[in-house]
Amino acid sequence: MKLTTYTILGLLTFYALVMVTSAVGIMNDYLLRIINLMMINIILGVSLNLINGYTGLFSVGHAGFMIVGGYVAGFMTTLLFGITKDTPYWEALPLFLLAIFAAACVSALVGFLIGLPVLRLTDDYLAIVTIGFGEIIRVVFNFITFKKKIGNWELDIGGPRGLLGIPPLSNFTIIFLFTLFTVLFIRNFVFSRHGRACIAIRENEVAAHMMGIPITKYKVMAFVLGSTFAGIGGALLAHFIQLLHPTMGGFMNSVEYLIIVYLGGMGSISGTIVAAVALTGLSEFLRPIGELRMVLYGILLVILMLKRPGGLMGQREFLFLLPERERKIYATQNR
Amino acid sequence: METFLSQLIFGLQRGTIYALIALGYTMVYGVVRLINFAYGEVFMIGAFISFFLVNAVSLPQPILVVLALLVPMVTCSLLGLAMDALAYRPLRQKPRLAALITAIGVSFFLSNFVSYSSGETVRSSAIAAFLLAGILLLYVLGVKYLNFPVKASPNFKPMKFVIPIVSLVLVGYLFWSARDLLVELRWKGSSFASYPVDRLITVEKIPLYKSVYITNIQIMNFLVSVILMVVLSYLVNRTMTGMAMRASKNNKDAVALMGVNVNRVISITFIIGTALAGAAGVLSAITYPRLTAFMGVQPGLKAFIAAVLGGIGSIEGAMLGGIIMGVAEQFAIGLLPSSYGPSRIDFTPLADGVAYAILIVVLLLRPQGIFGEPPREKL
Repeated sequence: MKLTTYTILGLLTFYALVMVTSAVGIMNDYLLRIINLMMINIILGVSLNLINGYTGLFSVGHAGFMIVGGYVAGFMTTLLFGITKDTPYWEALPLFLLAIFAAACVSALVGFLIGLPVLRLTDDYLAIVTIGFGEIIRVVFNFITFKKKIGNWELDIGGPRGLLGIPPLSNFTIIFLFTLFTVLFIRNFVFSRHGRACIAIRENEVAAHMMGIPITKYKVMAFVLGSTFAGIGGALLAHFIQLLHPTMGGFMNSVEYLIIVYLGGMGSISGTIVAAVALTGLSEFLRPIGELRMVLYGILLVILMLKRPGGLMGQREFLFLLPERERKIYATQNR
Repeated sequence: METFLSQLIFGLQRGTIYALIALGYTMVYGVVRLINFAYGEVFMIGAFISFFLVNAVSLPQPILVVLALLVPMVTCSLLGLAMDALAYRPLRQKPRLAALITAIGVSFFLSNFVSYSSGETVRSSAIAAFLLAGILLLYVLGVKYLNFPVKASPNFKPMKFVIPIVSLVLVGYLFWSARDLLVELRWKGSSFASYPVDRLITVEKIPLYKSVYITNIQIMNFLVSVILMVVLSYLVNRTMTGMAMRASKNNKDAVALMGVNVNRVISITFIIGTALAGAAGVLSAITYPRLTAFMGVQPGLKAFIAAVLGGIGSIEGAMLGGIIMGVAEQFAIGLLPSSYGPSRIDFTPLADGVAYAILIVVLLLRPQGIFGEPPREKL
């Protein structure tokens, strides 16, 4: 599916604006950091929306997949390739891309291994297992503290201390391109035949089964895709904040992504983008009140479900995100 | 053999705590099909309330033990009632996913609220727990029983007031009397609260067999949980309410047509479950006297897995599952090679993962659990 000229122009303008302002010095590092964080949260939110919003599953372990991707990529760049802060960027970049690819593959594999047995059962079990998965990840990464010399490399992913000294390879351009890729990929998936199958499963599983949709196949497909992009997001995040810690994969972090998805609207990419930007910005804005933010998140989740279960956007999309045919239908409906 | 026996005793003790929390999960799931993630937090609040009470009042030991157990149970059950009324009841007709998300929200809110209020020391998280209980109590009193704003209720039952008012007064008294304690605790400046076990009970080791011993805390633990479980079985199997509960498990609509107030049955389920979780919190605090705002997260998750292991929805299953879980975990802790032994690598951190390994095995081999029935698809 193609993007309209206006969308491309808009994206280019945004990219140029950020690049120019940060080069000139109008945009400071802090602001740029927030923008990067927003985009990483968009990747994680949109990929979770594919699982929870479009397919109607209930995964509570998104941060688990994120941390798996992060550890794989961080392990590769830091320990396997031995990239440090001082490595020239153009030498490090191909290796970084390779690491991101590996992170995506491993996350997909983990997602597949978890999804295949569990998604045959009723949806409650996915919530249970994904919570358990996040905890297992924490326990395992806490456990691996051994130091071993293999050739020139010393393998030590830190255990409870966390993986430190990851090179800062995620810059604005990389994150921007990956965010664009993620959003476009998931949009195209959602508006394809497979995406429709997923939405049908969300609306009524039995009816979808009657129509000949292989339910487990599509559930696993959505789950694996979501976890793949979570892995990519984790790899980017790891090289952005330069630190990985086992507890980052836990339940608490997953709830943040859940909030992004449900605030934005289940089954709306636009909503997720809006919510990711708003919540990341808000959490910076609310930094003075610190931990109270977490308290507010809990209340927010409850109130959202009670008062506005559809989220901010419901299932609506921004027009520029819709494919051409949908846009026409949309225009005629809302005339 | 001796190691085995003493590990078994410790494991059983651990297991009874899991079993008590798991009962709450399983009962609510049986009736409403809702996984109430907040039981771990109720557990934590129960422990804090008991901590506060024991610190605040000075009474003879036997009375204090009974109070330290009963007051948190009553307060926690009111918290459960409020939770149901505020967060879950409005969603009863909505898709189940909405209630599940709300449950996560409630759990997240409770633990973070206590954590936030605690700040650097835990002294004020006890206040937080109390304030929270107080606010929710006020809500329950106002909205549920007084039909707030003031409206004459046709079936006015005085007993409905007495228990909440008495507990509110009690909580208020505690809160009031604990102000001095707060000042005192502030200067101790530790990052967690330690439960004053010696005010409740003097720990004694009773030798059983060679080097195997059992402490009187463990005996108390077993006694309390056995009593609670017997009372629960009686309640569920022999009373009218229990019958309504079991019937609602099968078919809520039919039960409603028989003239049973299903909402009331659900509220009672919540009350029982949260009371048990509160009792578990107190027992756990006496055994492991270290309280933090997030102490409930792990036991909550593990108890939930125990409920799944036993077959979620089945009461016997939850008891058995909890005990299996506790024993398995204790054996993992006791038997995994640690760095003190001959092994160079410390394996004990992995003991924390035993519960989740059990979960995976159960889901692969018998997803409905030990006592559960395989789910049937209804059109």
